[in-house]
Amino acid sequence: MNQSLRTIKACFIKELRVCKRTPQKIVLVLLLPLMFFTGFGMLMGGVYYGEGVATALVVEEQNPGIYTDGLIEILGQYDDIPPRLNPIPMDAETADRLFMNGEILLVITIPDGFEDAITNNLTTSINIQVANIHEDLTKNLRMPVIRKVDQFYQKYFLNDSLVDFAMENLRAFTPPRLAYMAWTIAVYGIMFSAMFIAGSTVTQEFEQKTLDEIALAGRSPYAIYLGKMLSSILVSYLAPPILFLLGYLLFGVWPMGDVFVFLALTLPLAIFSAGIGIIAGAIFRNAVFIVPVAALGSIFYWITGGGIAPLELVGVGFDTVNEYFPISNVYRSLIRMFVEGSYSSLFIDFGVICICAAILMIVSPIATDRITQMDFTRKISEIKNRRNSG
Amino acid sequence: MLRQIIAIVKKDLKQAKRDPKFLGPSLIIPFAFLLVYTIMWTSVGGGESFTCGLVVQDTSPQANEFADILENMRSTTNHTWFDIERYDIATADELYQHTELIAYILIPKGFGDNITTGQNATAIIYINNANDDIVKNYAHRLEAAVLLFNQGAVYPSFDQSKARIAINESFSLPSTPSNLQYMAAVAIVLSFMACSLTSQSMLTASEFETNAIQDTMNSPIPRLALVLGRTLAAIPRSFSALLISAPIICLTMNVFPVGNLFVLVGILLLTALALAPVGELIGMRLRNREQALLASVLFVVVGFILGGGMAPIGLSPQIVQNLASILPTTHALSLWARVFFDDTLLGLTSSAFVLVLTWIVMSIIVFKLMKKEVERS
Repeated sequence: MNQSLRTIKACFIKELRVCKRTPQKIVLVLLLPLMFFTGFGMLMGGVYYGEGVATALVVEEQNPGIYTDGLIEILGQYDDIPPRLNPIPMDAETADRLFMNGEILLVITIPDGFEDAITNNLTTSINIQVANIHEDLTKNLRMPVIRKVDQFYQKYFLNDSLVDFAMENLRAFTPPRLAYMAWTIAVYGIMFSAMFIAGSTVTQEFEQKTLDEIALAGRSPYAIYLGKMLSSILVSYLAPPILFLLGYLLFGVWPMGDVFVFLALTLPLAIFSAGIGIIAGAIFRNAVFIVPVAALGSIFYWITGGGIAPLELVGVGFDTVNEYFPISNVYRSLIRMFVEGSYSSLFIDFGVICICAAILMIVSPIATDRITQMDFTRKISEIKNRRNSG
Repeated sequence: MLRQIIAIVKKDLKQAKRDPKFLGPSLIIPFAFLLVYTIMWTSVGGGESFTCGLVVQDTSPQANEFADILENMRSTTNHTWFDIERYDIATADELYQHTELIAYILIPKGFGDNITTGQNATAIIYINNANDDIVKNYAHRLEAAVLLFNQGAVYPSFDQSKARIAINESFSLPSTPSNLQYMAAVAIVLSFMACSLTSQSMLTASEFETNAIQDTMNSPIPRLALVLGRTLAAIPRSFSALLISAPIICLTMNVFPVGNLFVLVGILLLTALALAPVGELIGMRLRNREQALLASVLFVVVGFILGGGMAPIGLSPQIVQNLASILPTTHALSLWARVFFDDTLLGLTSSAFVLVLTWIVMSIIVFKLMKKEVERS
């Protein structure tokens, strides 16, 4: 084994030991993607998961019969398509108070005379109060009611239901939105961890003032920084298994595809992210600042790369921009594999990310070594002095 | 005592001026959120980016009537509906199979004949079911069109007066804010909360780092003056980031408050009072400015998400709602979002009370803890 390889190995082992000694780093690596997933889970809990949207149901009808009971039954029925409604019967006064306080976001009122009007072929209506906090929420609250009324029409007004609709899905299985997010957040976790750990291995040298020791060690700086990168790549794989498992436990689905393809695509992504991480570490020189940089950078790519919705939904502008960002290639192929089990763009996407990873693997250690030799504080004060004397 | 309070306020403000790092997250976090949201809502699967193909194979008046509803229906709110683009079946299917078209609706041949002969006519929607959210957004819209047709509420009037069951809708706000307007409004209070919390936590951590806390606590200044001075200093400091973020957000996003400005300022004041002791607690525990900064940022972000910054907590499971109601950020957001878009004073009392209570209780706790720390050291 030549000296460079020995240095890489030694540095790799040393950084793993440092990680083991500083459990805060490992906690952050595990916690941030989990927090992110939990946050989205809570955020969309009522819409995509659980009992459904708590809905105040006010029945003012004094003589309920087949139609009133039928509508109440349909409103409470389980629906394959989210958001589900969770009707809670209450009087009008309580419903109004809860709605005003923002504790209930949707109130459905079946007025008195509803039964009589339908029985006698007259027109009637139901009243809904919607918390129109913003458009998306308003849509998610009112559309299920429209769906339920349509279902009521299809069941009870056969003569009026001239049209219905059928759905043909492209795939045999529709993944739940939150399971889809667990899978894409796993990719986010790899990016974030690789960037953060690699960055912090460099910042710790600044914080512990050990940069001079690196210079005096007589080892290749390239090998040292490469060792740091490789250790962060290994640590970056800690969060994904937990997220996949959570997705399975909560929603009963595993992503489709092959674990080797997953590794083949995410490994160069981790190298790429670690390359960016060590450069960021050399620039920011503070472990605390690396966290938001890595977290925000990864979130940005998680969203634009298809973490929330597949790339097909991306507007034309972003579609074009994404063509030039290697991370989007990884997301595209992984999402296709997770959801469809297909590999239609695998070769091109794998090729692009491998080229980028190889470039950063060569360039990042050299760039980091150069940047660490620069004294930013002195440069800034020189600029200030020059401006003042000018 | 007044002089002593003024002296403490001056000292705290000078210290904030010397180390204005707290302004960083107060400006970065809201703008990062806004950027991410703008991308999300306008480009990546947001309400404005859905398109749907339409293939009409039938030439009957009923098929045209149904196609007219699909192409022209508008929500009763100002929410944008997906764009409909007409295709022939071969093109639509090819685009769909290559996932370039997320969905298309087919009005098949014989659609009108079925209706004329009293049979059900079926429209078919082909969906790329990548997840249930996509299915939801397309199926709901087609379902709305189907209901409108069956109600006889057709284009151009969409009049439901002859429907067997019409839907009368009323809303909590006079007009529905767009997703971006909502995010812009809450980004302002997010900036304020971040500033309030980070500035206080960094100040306290810095006092522990430099041991200045010993001098402050051992000085002959009355405890009440100390509490009042620190609290009063937290208010202008918290507003400092707002001087930059609020005008930028309002002007760039074209969002301006509808509610009373004095009430909005009052809400911010209560928020600053409630968050300052929380910041103090963070700073006291961590005793390192950078760690205090990071912890404050995490607290604000988690509080923002949990407290309804992205979606109202009314949508979350009950246990989450109960947990979130402990956080002052939840109440600050709830008050702010309510008054920003509606000139009302209704339903504000309980949240305002919680913020005042948080301030008093947390101030007492923090002060006692701080005294203990100093005595121990």
